[in-house]
Amino acid sequence: MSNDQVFREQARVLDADLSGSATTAGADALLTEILLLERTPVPAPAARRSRRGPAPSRLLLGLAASVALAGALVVGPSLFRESGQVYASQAVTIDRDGDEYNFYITDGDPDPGELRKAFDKVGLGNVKVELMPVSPRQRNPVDGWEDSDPDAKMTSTLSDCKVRVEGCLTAFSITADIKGPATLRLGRPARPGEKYDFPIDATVPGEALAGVRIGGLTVAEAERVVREHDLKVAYELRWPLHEGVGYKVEGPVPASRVDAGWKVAEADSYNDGVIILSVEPAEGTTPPPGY
Amino acid sequence: MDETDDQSRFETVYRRTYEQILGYVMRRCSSAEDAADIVAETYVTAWRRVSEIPRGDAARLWLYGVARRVLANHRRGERRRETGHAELTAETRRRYAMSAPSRYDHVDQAMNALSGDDRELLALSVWEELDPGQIAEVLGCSRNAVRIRLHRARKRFARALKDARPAAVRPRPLTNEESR
Repeated sequence: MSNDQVFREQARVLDADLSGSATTAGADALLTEILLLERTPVPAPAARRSRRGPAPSRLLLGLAASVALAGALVVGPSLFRESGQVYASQAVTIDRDGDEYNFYITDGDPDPGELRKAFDKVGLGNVKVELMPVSPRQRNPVDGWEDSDPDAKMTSTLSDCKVRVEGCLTAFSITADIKGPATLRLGRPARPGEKYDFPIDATVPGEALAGVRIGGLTVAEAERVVREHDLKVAYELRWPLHEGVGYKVEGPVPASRVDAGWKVAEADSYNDGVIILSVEPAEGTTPPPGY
Repeated sequence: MDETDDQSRFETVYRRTYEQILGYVMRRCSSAEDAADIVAETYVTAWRRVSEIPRGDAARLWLYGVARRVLANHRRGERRRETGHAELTAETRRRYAMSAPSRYDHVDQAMNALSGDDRELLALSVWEELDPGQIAEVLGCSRNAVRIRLHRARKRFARALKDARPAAVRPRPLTNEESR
């Protein structure tokens, strides 16, 4: 047996063993899911509409959520310097790490001009920085990324955020030799009355339905509670995925699609006077095509 | 090209390449769950870039390149998950359960002694049955560079195999009787 044959024998599976797999239920379901996705990566608000349910150990999408922040004490970069550090300011510390730059943000409401200056310094002048208002109660910072380079990538929530830089609020890495324009979006605390670009649980302290229990109520009960608070109601439906792992969100949907007896899982707010009830259709309800 | 054309083209590419991309990923992934995630992410990326997918068989090579990058990102602990693909995961689990992970420990040992680059070159050549020109497309380098590197990788694999071969099956000269 030649060495090539020996190598070939070690393969877990050969293509010939997978004959017919392109038309299985799994392949069909994946294709359907993909065709429903937006064609271009979407920033935070739109991504909400395509989020998947909780597979707790798995994060989703390029937008991420890391930690918090309103009123967080902003402390400058620590004095200990890692060998890869290439830039540091009050708002951001940048390390070079192989073919990527790691960014550690230390200002919860940074000046985009200052961030652009930092990006310019390391040769990422084609990355535009935008801030998006998010709830000051948002426990996880929200980052969004859009680019036109198929080889580029942005990874959020570097695990060494707080270890690497004192006062680090969110951290991410970006391919160093990114080609073409790109946009980085960072969440910043919304001003009083400002609409959010990313939703938050409406029942957490400080939000429109603070302290109110909505999860588990029927749609009719939840609607009544929301209207008692002089807020409007919108709906989205959570269709369970196969094997009950996670769900797929359809929405917004009109009230006529929602049964008053179905259960509400969650109430979200963009701080615009509307509460979005995330509703679980009763077991046995037929989802629309693609869900 | 409008949305319907893009969908139709993507579906054609998907159906035509799915077995090879699934095979590519399964051969490089020890976990069925990761394999399903990587296949899904590869095609999500392809959908996002549908206008860039080359025509004909070049689409398969382009997808190998995408899968390779997705796989590398996974190995670095970076994951995106934009689809649920529970059914695909279940199917992949069944496939893993039915497949033999490796046949010979000493070959595993020899393969592990190679650099990642050498192993990938050999795999593209032997498992995906690509010629140097096609491998060059996947890796984004010249055909000549692939030829040279492949030659060296084969030599290093032969040496690693020789070093790893268990003593009990180490080749020995034929005895006079056997050679008759």
